[in-house]
Amino acid sequence: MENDKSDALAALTRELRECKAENNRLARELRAALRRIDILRLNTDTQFDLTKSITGEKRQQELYFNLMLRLYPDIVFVFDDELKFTIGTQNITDIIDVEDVSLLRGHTLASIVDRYCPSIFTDEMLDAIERVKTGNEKGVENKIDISTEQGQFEVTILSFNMGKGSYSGILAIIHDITEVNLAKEQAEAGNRAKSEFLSRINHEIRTPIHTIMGMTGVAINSDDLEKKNACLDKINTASKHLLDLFDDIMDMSKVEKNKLDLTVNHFDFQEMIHHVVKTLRFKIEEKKLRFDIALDPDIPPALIGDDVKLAQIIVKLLSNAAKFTPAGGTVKLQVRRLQDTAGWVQLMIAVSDDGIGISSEQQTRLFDSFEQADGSNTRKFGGAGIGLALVWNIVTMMGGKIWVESEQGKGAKFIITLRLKKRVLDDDMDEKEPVAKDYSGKTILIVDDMAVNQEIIASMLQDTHIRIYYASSGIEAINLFKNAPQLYDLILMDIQMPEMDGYAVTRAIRALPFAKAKEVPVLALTANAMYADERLSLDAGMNGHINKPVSKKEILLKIDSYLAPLLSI
Amino acid sequence: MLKCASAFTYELDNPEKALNEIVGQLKNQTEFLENTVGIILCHTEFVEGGVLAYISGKLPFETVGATTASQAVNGSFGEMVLTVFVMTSDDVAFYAGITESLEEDIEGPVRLAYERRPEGFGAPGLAVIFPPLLIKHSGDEYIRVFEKVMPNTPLFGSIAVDDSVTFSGAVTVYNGRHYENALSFLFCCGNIHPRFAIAALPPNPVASVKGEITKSEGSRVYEINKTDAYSYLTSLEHSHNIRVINNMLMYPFWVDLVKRDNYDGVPVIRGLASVSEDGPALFRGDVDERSTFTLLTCNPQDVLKTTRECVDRVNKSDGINGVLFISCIVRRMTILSGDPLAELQAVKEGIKPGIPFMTGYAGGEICPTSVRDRIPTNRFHNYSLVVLVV
Repeated sequence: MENDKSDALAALTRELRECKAENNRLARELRAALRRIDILRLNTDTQFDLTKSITGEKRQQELYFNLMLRLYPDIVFVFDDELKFTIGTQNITDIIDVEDVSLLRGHTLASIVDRYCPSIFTDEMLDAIERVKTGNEKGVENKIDISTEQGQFEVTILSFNMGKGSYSGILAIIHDITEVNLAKEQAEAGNRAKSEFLSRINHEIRTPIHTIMGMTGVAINSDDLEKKNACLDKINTASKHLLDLFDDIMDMSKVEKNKLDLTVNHFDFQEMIHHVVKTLRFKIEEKKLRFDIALDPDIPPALIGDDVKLAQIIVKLLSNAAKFTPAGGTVKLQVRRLQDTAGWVQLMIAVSDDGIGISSEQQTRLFDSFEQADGSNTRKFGGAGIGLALVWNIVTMMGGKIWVESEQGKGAKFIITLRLKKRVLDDDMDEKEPVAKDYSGKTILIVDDMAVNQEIIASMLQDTHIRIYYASSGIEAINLFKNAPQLYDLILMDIQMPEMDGYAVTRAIRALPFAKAKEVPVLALTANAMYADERLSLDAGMNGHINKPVSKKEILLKIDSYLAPLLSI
Repeated sequence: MLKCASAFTYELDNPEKALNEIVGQLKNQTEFLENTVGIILCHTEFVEGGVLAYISGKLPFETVGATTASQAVNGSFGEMVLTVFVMTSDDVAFYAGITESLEEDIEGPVRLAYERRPEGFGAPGLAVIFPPLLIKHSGDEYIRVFEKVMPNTPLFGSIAVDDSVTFSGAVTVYNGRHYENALSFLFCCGNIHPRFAIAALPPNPVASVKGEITKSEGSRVYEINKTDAYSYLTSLEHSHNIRVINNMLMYPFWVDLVKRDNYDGVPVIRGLASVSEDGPALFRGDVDERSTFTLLTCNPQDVLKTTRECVDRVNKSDGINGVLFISCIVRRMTILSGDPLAELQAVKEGIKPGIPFMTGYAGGEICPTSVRDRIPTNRFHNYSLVVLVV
């Protein structure tokens, strides 16, 4: 009995303990739950759910927005209604000395101006912002151009309102137009220069044409042979002047398109200089100028380079010197050997005068295309204004340098230094003047719609005894060839012809079903001197290209290269 | 030689059972060497229910620590749990204790506690501290005081919290007794070479917002970008949809304390405690004038990513005897509110097997951002996970 009671008591105690423990556990869980509820309530009350606050999508949007603020090319300020800065593009740091643009947040416009003194905020701009701010209408826009030490800018100020009770403020968009304005100025300057150039060219062309026409008229109306010869001389001089002018224009055009090429010739330097001097001596002495020449006797006689272009630039410098030196003055040409290095010789070529000189300001533009140092000189001295630009380009292409030493009223000295390759003399390689070979038994077809051109070429070929046939049009040329394809050993083809140009005629001949049609050499004979024109000729099936006006030497050399091998048959 | 071990118990009703669980787990891991100490983190229920007192009274070594919200150790992770991390060594001396009340002053009690260290106890090579949660003192104050009392000592610590909204039950503990206003501490001296790591939030700015503190005093910020703090912070609403709600702004501030003499290039996180229209913005730590800050994102993915990266870094280290992870309560309570144990789980599952560790939560973390030439840059952190490796 006692044991039963004891057992029951123990069991009850155990049960009580278990209940108490369970009670405690439940109480703890209740407390824990209440704590969790409090936390949830706190998070809910703050309406703040961090799991959603910055989702991947929002972060992506933020990244894109930040990227835009970093990369947007214009400078953008956003102010609130109280003109406090809120956000802006990162390039604001280019004009305001601050590490990060958001460090400006909260600053008023006035404090930004006061603290950082950005020159971009001119009085005009600040006035414009104030006008927009106080404007009665929302969306008011004000556009102004401002000029500061940092450049020129187009500024757009506008007010914005995102909606009732929402955000509103002022937007200032600053667009840099410095480069645009500069490009515009340069374009306008270029256009002005080109207009002036065209005006000069017009004068330069008209003058010799006037001479040619005038002298022609005088010669026609005169029975005096001496007078006629004098007129022909003047016509010849004027023609050469015109040709030089056109050559310069074409060369300058090639320079502008990076198509001017240097040729590699073997030449005698002294002979080249003598040729130059001979060309100009008359002109210089005619003007009663003294012409001094000093050639270094140590200059190697045999050199390799583009003697034609070299002569061209020396002629130009001497011509200029003569042009800008009054009667009684002196023009000097000096050539000195400077130093040799491994097969090359460096030369200094100086052309000086005691003429009107060039001021320092004019010297800065001297070698620019289409410029003359002083436009007013055109009226006094003439000239197209491309000569020195061409000289500079050619010297630079040759790897040389050119500069001028001058003072206004005290003459000018143009100095060139450049290197030329020394040539090892070999008698077999000496160039000889081409001699007209005997092409008796050979036949040439000249295709040109201008009879005078046919005559000129015929006269050049007179000494070769070559038989010449003529065609005055493309159709005629094709028919002549069709009728006797084996007859012709060479065709000289003009390009600019009415109805059918030389390219079309050549393609038509090449298409004829004769073996000779494919083989007969066809040379373009044309005033089209551009590199592209040479390509067109070759693409049309022609074998070569001779530029008009042709010289006898050139045409004989060209014909030799195509007909001479045949002589061995 | 230094050895570590960890143990846990969920037993709240039977203190003896709880003790046996702890002791049994510890015995399976290591024998105790000449000097032994235990760091305890526990739920407030263990304090209120007397289990902590019982266990601490029976353990053959001193214990220091604090209450927390949830923990993880090698064998488990959970909320209502008591965990202990034991360090035992024959060439490291331990001095554990509790200061007097810090209600009125910090320096005095701390200095007194330090001066009472055992004879022969040299300059500590590590100080693990558990400050009480006292609003009037910011975490930076504790650092200033300790650096004054014990210069060049690396500080690692956790401000006591619990799992409630108000942290009303948060206490520090020493040898089984609990304290609301006193700081419990553990100083280590001898052959100990602590290493540290910090997993703050990733530097993903929530917005292209960067500000400069233009007027402040300690943790009170009066002006940002020369604008009063309230105006500045509320202005973020429109431009960046960052709202000040209930006087709180939950986005962490990534602050460059660049003007401090010992700035080592590592920014710290600062949380905003409150902001009002007619007062300064109160941060959860000092924010120096002329510091710049960026607002960071803080979503659960960020937290877990940084935690895992930190654990990986620890795993790659050599010569680890044990690891203590202390994470900020905000990471658990607010950021990971949807899955509050996720971070603990990430640590437990990520740490290399065989490395004794303990993880808990704090109301402010103390850890050096760097140690150069044995001189630490001690810092107070918010929203961070700090790690001590011994």
